[in-house]
Formats: sequence, C-alpha cells, structure tokens
Amino acid sequence: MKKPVLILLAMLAAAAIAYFASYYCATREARRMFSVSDGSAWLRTEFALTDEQARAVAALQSDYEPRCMEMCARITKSRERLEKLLHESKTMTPELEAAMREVSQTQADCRAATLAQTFAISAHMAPEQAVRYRAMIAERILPGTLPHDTATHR
Amino acid sequence: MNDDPQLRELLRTSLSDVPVPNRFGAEVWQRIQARNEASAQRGWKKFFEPMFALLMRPTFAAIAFLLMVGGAAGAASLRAADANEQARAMLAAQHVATLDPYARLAVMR
Repeated sequence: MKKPVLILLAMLAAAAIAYFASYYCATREARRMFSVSDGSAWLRTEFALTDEQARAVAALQSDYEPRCMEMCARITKSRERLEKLLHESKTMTPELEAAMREVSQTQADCRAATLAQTFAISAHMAPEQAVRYRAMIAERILPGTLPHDTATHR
Repeated sequence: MNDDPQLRELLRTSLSDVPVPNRFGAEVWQRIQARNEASAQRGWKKFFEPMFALLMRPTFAAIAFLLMVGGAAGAASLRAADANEQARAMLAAQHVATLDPYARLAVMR
C-alpha cells in the first residue's frame, strides 16, 4: 500500500515542478522587460529594433521629455483655470469661453506633438514595424477617432 | 393483541434474571462505532485500491506520469501566455505615457 502512495506523491511533485518551471521560463522575457524601468527594452523587443535604431529612439525620447513635461503643465494649468471659472461663473462669460478654447487648443497641440513624436520614432523602424507602431499609438491616443483601416494601412 | 393475564404471568415466571455486565451499554456502542469505521475504511480502499493497482503497472504509471507532467506544463503555458499579454499591455501603456502628456497625467494621478 505504501509504494503506490509514494509513486502518486512523486508524480504530483513532478507535475508541480513542471508547472512552475514552465511558467518561469515562459514569463522570463516579460520579467526582463519589466526590469528596465523606462520601457525601452519592451520597445526594442516588440518592434525588433537594432542597437543603432534603439539608440536613435532613445535620443529622440530624451529630447522629447522636457517638451512632454511642459505640455503636462500646460494641460494642468488650462484645466484648473476652466474649473475655477466654471465654479465662479453663473452665466456664460467671454472668460469662460476663452478658457474652454484654451483647453481644446492645448489638447490639439498635445495630440499633434504626440503624433509628431510617434512619426519621428517610427522613422527609425523597419517599414512594417513602423506601420504597426503608429497603429498601436494611434489606437491608444486617438481611440475611436480613426477608422481601423486608416490606422493599420497608413 | 389482547392483554392476556395468563400469558403475561407465564412469561414473567419463565424468564430468569440474567446478570448484565456493568459496561454492557458502552461496549455495545463501541462495537457499533468500530463497525462503522471499518465500513468507511473499506469505502476508501474500494476507491483507491484499483488506482493503486494500476499505478503498480509500469506502463500505466509511465502514461499517468507523462499526462500529469504534460498537463501541468500545458496549464502553466496557458497561464503564462495570459500573464505575458497583460505585461505587454502594461509596457505599451508605459511607453505611451512617455509620448502622450494626457496618458502621463493619468499615470501620475
């Protein structure tokens, strides 16, 4: 009676080891990409960038960073102004209208800058990867505004 | 079943007083309990014995081993594919936050 129980336990142990080993091996690449905090490892793997392409993209991203922060500040400021005027106003005023225009203008400027950066990055990729990259970004920053075919076949 | 005084008298005189041991009741219950436990053990044996008998056959044991290990590895691969997909989506969102100020503000909030 003892021997079959031992055989069964050994089988269960082997199955458990197989489970954890398979999971560990299959998720190793994702864990490696997460370990690089700026996401460059993901971009490099996902879009098959060469060393040279990865360096060019990193330089572009580095140059874009202050601009992105500046836009974040502009968005926050325009939103705060609009919220303040909305809270204070009892009727539609020229100031409120101007604040709404400013929010819309900021949004348009930010979207344009993001797309320009997307095109600049994709210019360093292989053509088919560039199309895939632009489609992925467009899908995320302009959800529902582009027809599916436009995003994927541009 | 009429109450028959004669029959009752006859029964009373014919039954002698049999001495009952002190722990008679407790022993009876112990026996009942032991019998129930033995029956339960027989149930488990009935369930496991055929499986254990099969495990003692090398061919069956090898097939069972391969199925268990293969099944475990397959289940792990499916779960890893889900985890990888989630990781890809998170890393993509992280990258978009380096481009899109709105996405960055959403992350910072």
